[in-house]
Amino acid sequence: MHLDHFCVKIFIQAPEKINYSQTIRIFHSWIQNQKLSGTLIDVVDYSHVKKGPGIVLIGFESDYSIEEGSENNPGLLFKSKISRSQNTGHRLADAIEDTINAAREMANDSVWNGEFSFFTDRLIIQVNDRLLAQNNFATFEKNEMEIAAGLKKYLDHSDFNAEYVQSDSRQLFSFKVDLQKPLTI
Amino acid sequence: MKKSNELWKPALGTKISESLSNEIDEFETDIARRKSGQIDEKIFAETRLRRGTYGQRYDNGKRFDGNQSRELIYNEANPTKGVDTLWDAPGMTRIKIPFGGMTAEQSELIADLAEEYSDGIAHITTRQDYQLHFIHIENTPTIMRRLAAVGITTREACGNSVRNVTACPKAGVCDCEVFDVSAHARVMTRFFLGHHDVQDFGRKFKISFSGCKSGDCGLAGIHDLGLVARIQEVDGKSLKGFQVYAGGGLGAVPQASRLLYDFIREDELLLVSQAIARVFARLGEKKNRARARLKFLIQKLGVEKFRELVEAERKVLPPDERRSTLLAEGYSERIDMDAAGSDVGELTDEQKTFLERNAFNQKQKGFLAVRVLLPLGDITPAQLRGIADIQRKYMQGTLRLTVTQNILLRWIPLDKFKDVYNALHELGLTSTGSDTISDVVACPGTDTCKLGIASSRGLASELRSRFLSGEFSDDPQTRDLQIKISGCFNSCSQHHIADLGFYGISRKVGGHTVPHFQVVLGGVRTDNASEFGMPILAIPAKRIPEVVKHLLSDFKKEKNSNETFQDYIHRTGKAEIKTRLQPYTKVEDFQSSPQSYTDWGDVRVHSTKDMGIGECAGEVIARIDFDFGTAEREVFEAQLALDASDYNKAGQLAFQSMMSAARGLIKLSFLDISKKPDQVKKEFDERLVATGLFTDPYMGNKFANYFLDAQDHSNYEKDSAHQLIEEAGLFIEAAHSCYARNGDKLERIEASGVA
Repeated sequence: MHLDHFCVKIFIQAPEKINYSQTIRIFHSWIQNQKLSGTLIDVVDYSHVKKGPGIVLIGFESDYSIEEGSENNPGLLFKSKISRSQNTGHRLADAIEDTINAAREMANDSVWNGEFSFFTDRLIIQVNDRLLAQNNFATFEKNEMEIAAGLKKYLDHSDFNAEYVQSDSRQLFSFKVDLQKPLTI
Repeated sequence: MKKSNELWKPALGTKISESLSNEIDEFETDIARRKSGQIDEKIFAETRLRRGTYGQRYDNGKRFDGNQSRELIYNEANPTKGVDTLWDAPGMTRIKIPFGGMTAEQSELIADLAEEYSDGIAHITTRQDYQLHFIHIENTPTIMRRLAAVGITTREACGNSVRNVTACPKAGVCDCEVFDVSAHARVMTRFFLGHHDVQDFGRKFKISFSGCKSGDCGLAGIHDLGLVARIQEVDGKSLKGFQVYAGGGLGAVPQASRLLYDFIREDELLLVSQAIARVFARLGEKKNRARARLKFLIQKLGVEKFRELVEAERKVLPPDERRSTLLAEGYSERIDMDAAGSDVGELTDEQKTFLERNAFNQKQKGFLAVRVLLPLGDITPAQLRGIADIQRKYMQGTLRLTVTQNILLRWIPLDKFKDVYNALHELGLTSTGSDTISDVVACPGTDTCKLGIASSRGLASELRSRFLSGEFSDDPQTRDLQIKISGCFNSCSQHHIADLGFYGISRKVGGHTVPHFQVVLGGVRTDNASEFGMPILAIPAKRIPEVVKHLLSDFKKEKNSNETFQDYIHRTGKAEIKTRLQPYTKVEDFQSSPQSYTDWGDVRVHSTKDMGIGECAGEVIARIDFDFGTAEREVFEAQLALDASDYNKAGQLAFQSMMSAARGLIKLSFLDISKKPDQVKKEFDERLVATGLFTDPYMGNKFANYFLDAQDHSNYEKDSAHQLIEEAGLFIEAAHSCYARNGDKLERIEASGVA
């Protein structure tokens, strides 16, 4: 079965400068103005939870959050809940596209006065389904070609390196992507 | 809808018991049948509620975005999953954790579910449940299977039945307890789960166990059935037993439970509880949901009369060996007492503070229990896995969830305290002050609940941050007070028994809707929730922090030595307090203070347009509708089996479906009908055929004979199975028709001779 339910995280530069509570207003405005595709439902504030999901924009097809995460590495996290495409590569490309669209909207919001930016040379990608993807190197090996195809489909080039991220086997299967050509946000 | 849903059942294999597996299969079939329009939406709604599958705010497909009410677009082809509840709209799954006890494996599974199906957070409720939000209905059977594989069920977490049985989280380790009530809570859970006597309530039924009379853990005073441990000397023997309190409940109008029995022996526990359930099922209000809790029945009858009815019911209860076998099985956690530690050793200042504020010595020398404070009851998957690691490395037995939305780690040897502290610190879980004033309890409120009026969690988060920042002082005189905040008057946070309680309301100011909270003071949670606070006055949500600061400041200045907060409130008088707080009721106009018109944690102008119909009660569905629903599902499954060429299964299911329909009709006048086919046929023949009640006006007893002539065997072939399925379908229709014609005549309960 193809991999599905990709989560993509893009990391915030200089996170110490950011007042994350502004994200609440921004996410609400995305709902008001239908800034992203899909059905956007509500905004949930989990900023009281240390190493938690932060501020979450709940959607029917996907969730978006500005989160610190368990590794103390703030970023925008995209979680795909409904897949639109039929195979691993297409689903991955869709997920990255949605992430970057959201990142662009976030970074360009006027409230930041240009101070909000993302690292454009790296991503962490997870599969949010333990049965589809066991967290081990064998999963990465088995799907490496499809992953590469998906990355190439979105990036339109092959100047990247994808590498399995070894972690506690209970965690989600993850791989990191280093980009020789930075993303445009 | 996870792609892996279809893979989980084979993957879990035999990890799930057959009975649980069958139940979940049935629910999955019901989902498919609802999706294809074969089940009525109200019946499906109550069915899913009884599987712990709730609706959430905005599930009617509308949301006020701050400017206008906007439609949330889902697949129009999908049906509703309840009245005004869209199929694809996210819902909530409530997971029962009896007496709050969890193993490491169970903690890890909750982590996985929160990550894969929810928004990345697991939430602990004020009744020792877990809740996961933003769940899609089609993922719920998989969630149930994965839970079942580690021994957890969502069954009857919601709906008009027995909810999670709670117990004091310190049960077994508390030096105040009379005895450990964990076993009894577990026995009660197992006895009542799916029991036919708890399927016909007009409203929910909540049970709790307390190890002692004076504590604030079990809260017998606010439960439908509250059991408080007692030991009584009888004929020179010390017998374990319980005081029995009944008819307590909060909701909009709180009612303290009444003492029903001063002492029952532990071997009478299930008998008495079952008798109470049957009286409630028979005589409780069913039409008017607002008056359908047990408290209203006891109010109406009086305690004495209610006790008489329970005693009469006891006498006619059919024998059930489970009442004794379950108790004999009991429950105990294997503890190695040699693991006890001698000393916590040298501690840093932070560790000392944590030890002082968050830990206590167990009654068993050498062991500590540690309270882990979870802000607003929320925990991440990574934190849960870390907790599971702590359970395995340093703890024994189960951890316990608490009604203050925290986790209690138990059986930690003294010399492992530092290791546990360090592990918790890595997880970000060493906040001090669990169960104190900075540990604010809040229900989900407007975050996810359809009934929420104001943001309980938003306010709770704000108050907590003011305590943590030092703006509100960390004063020993006020530290042990508790703040509880509900999003509406229904008291899911138990605000009536808080020192400072608040519940959400709204007020119109200058043509705008402004979120407010009613201030509720004077509650007492000790002595098993002995006193309820009363509302004083309504304060704008954004001014509540000022009110809290004022009240705490006045208390510290004016209290007499050793005076409790409740005594201070009584002595000062509510009229005086109201006068003092009156200035805080003022709301500035919209132009000068637009932030007053939004709620905590929200940027939208406040509105009550997003409220909906609560599912807390569930629709009252007559028991027979469930029985007919079961029959219809079974005959449907028989058809599927026939299509799959499993003729024996097809035939047996067809026979079973007729049994379900027949028993449903019989139960209207004879509740304790056997499940044995020959007994059922005999009762059916005598009560329904011989009396003419089942006789079809045009077809006579043709359909009755389909059932009376059918045999339960395992030699079906294609034709015989097919025929029986056809006959079963016609028999079920005839049963519906019989009920429609003669329902009133059939509804006469004879079991106890009391109408």
